[in-house]
Amino acid sequence: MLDLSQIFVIATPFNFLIMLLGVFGGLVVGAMPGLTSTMAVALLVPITFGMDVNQGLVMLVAVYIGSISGGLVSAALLNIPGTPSSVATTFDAYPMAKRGEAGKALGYAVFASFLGGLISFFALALLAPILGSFALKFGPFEYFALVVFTLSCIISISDKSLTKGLIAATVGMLMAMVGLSETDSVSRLTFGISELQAGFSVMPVLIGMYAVSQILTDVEQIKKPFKIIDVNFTMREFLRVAREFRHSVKNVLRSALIGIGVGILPGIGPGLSNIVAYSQAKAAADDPDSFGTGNPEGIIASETANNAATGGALIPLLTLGIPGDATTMMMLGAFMIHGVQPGPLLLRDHSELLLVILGSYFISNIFMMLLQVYFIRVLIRALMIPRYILYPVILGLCVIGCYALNSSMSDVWVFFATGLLGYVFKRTGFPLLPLVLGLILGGMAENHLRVSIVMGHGNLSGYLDRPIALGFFAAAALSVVYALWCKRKAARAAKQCVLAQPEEAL
Amino acid sequence: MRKVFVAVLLAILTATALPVFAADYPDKAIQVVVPWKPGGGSDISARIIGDHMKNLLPEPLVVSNIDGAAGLNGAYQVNRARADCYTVLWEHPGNLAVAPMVTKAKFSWEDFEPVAITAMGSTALIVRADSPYKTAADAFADIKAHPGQVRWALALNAVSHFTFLNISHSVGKLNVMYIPANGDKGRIVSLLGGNSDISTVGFASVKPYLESGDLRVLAMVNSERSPFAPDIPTLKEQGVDASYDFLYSVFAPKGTPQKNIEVLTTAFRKAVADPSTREALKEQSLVPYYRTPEETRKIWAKEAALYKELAKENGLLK
Amino acid sequence: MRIKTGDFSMGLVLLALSGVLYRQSGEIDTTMMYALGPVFFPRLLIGVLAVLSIVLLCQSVKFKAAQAPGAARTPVDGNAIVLRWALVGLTAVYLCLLPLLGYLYATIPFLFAGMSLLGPVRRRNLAIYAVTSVAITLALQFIFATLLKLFLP
Repeated sequence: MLDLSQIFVIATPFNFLIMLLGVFGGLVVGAMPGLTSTMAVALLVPITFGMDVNQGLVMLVAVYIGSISGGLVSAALLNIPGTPSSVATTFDAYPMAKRGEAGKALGYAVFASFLGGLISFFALALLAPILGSFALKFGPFEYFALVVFTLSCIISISDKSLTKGLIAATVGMLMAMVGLSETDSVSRLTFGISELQAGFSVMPVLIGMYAVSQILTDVEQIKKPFKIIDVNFTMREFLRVAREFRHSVKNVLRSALIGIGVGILPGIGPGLSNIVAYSQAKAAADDPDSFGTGNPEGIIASETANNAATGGALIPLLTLGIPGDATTMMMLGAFMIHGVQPGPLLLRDHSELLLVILGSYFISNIFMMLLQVYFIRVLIRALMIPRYILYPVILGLCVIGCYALNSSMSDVWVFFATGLLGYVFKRTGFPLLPLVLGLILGGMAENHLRVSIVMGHGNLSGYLDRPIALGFFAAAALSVVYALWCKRKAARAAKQCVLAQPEEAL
Repeated sequence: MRKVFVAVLLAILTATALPVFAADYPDKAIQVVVPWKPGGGSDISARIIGDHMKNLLPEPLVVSNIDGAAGLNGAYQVNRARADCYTVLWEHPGNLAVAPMVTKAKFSWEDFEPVAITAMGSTALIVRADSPYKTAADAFADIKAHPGQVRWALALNAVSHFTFLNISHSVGKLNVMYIPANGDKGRIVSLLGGNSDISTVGFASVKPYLESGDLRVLAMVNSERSPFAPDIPTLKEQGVDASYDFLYSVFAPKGTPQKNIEVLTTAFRKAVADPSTREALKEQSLVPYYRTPEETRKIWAKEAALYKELAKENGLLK
Repeated sequence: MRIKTGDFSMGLVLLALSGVLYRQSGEIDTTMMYALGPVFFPRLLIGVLAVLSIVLLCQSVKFKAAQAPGAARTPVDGNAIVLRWALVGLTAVYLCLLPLLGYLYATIPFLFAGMSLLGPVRRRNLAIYAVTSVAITLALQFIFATLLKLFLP
């Protein structure tokens, strides 16, 4: 076991400085719409080349924490999630910010991020080896069941029209089918266009859908400045928000556990944790209808989960050498360039490096919170920039960000086209999230289904002796039934309301 | 005043828009396209060698990762790039020879100019530590005894698939259950998680799991013993005439002037001969392995012919 | 009988889309068959999409006026529509010019045009737009190309 008392070996002034810079750099990159945490790590990796191993690791972890947390900013203020991991944050943080309580919305998000990070720190420090082996228990059967479960969350999240939610998810999954198939590299639905061989990457679609559609919607009120009530968001206000969390202990714990659990699974990562946590928080709440209108619980669920997932994603990386998501994949490369081979040997042969990682994870989380509190004030000021200046800049930034992902113009065109699609969806009342979710999960769903059928010798019987998979299926069925039941109840209540006061309804 | 302003603006515009004449290659950074995600063997080899070429060329080599579509995305970008040797592709024969063929892409490896081979990686045939197989022969005998039962992790239609087909061809028709798993990491996870029984992966990625005792090597798939695993026999030594050498090669777009290729390949040769580069490559279990453009073309032609034959033999290609 | 035109036309478009995709799925190469084959899952999704879009079509036609008609319908702002599509057009032009002119010469005019399109056009504002466009473009160029060694178009 690790000797955690040694953790403060990294407490040198220079390390603190690196962490501060790393978290700050990560926050800035993560906060810019169009730039992702993966990019933040990729961009800052070369800077670590000149450092020794310890400093390099400290910097990488700091950047990772900063950039994942930075994503909440554009989600809350502009309704544009910078990364898939902050999609669910937009649901409640943006309505709250729109009411003028931008500072408060960010305050909730920041403190929730901190708690999520803290809880997953303990999971990382104390349970890493045990949890790491949990990741290996997931084979094709379990992954397919998990995907089905996640897709079932769409039903509880899509408020207005179930049909539209399902259509959006199907379109998303069809988009995932375009290009070379994940299972057997067969070219599909490309209409003969070479650029489509690679399929649709998630990032350009996500940014396009949210940023372009938001900007086009806001054109009507472009000359009005943003409404801001709490311009002077001070440390004291932040503490007041933090005290509010005593009512949300259950929500925080549940979301953190979901975050860690989802984060551990390779290939799924923080991108989904926030959505699952949000839908579960909504299902568990006494007032599910208030979700989506600026309920702090929604912000707490989403942000706790995505930050908890960072620790979760580091677990398989450190214990098995398996990255949990694109960002940790990038970190794996960076670790190797520093001569550190993450994997089963890291804990045995280089436990001192693990301590460095843990220590910087812990301290970076604290720095993240402190920096964000001061950041909030600056950001709110930034919101005072007129939208007619801000929006072209955001568009330009998104274009460059999409281009830089893969140095290709085709990603930029995907960004533009899906942006228009997103606008059409928004105008006709189709939710955007199921589409993004479908795109992320579509390939995975197909691949694992096909492999599991092969492993079951041509049929689905293989699922019968997979308790974890069956558990997920059961949970999916339950959540669908529960969500439909709630909707029914709500619809009946609404009908009675209409019948009781026919004049008012007209 | 305004006229002066316009004139200056025009001057700047023309100065930057016109190509600079008579400058020696390279006069700007060279983009090395790695068609895979960062962190893999291709990426690390490109970064190490690129980094050690700092002093050999006046301009740096900058690695950019353009992944997707089984590596074709990056290849396509280089294929379309200006033929001036400022955009080069970092690939290995299994992929660039196989992927365009099976996906019927509009280009093949022959639509590129070879620049050099720089390094060689090793591939290992591995099983879980608790596997009953002690040698490669055990494994093949068991597969033959239980057709369609043994689970072999591979990436369908990619190098690991063809490595399997090659082995199967020499041992005589192996009937296994394919478990698709992409990348070395994917196959290692599949083995560790008990979702497959046997696989081939890059030696560098699997090394830590060998040391930790989670996985075991049955044989090396290279044509010769690897200097990093001198005690592990190759398949060839065990009487299976199948090998795959992971050759990291550099390609320029078709029609690139020989003069530029000459400059770049000379720099690669020097870099690979440099002791500090060799040391850095050794840390990643890579063997320095320089070949001239002509030798590269020959090696690739041989590999590509083999893959075509295997694809036809197994009905992957009509 | 009332028809929700938005939903109705989306239903039609999606139905047409599933038809097109179904035809396109016939082009998929099935030389190598593994498990369900590469065509099964896309076709399944196409089928689901077709069914769902028919459901949407049916739902968009209401035989009784159950909803309150004309409730809180925002007046159509013609100006905003022009502005919106002008912005879309401008972005499209920018994307076309980007590979031709290069990052610097495409981005500065784009930002400037975008700002003048959306914001009030006054002499003082124009000066602000010009300065911010140039400054932001150069700052991004510095961050991406110089600090981070990424290639810009």
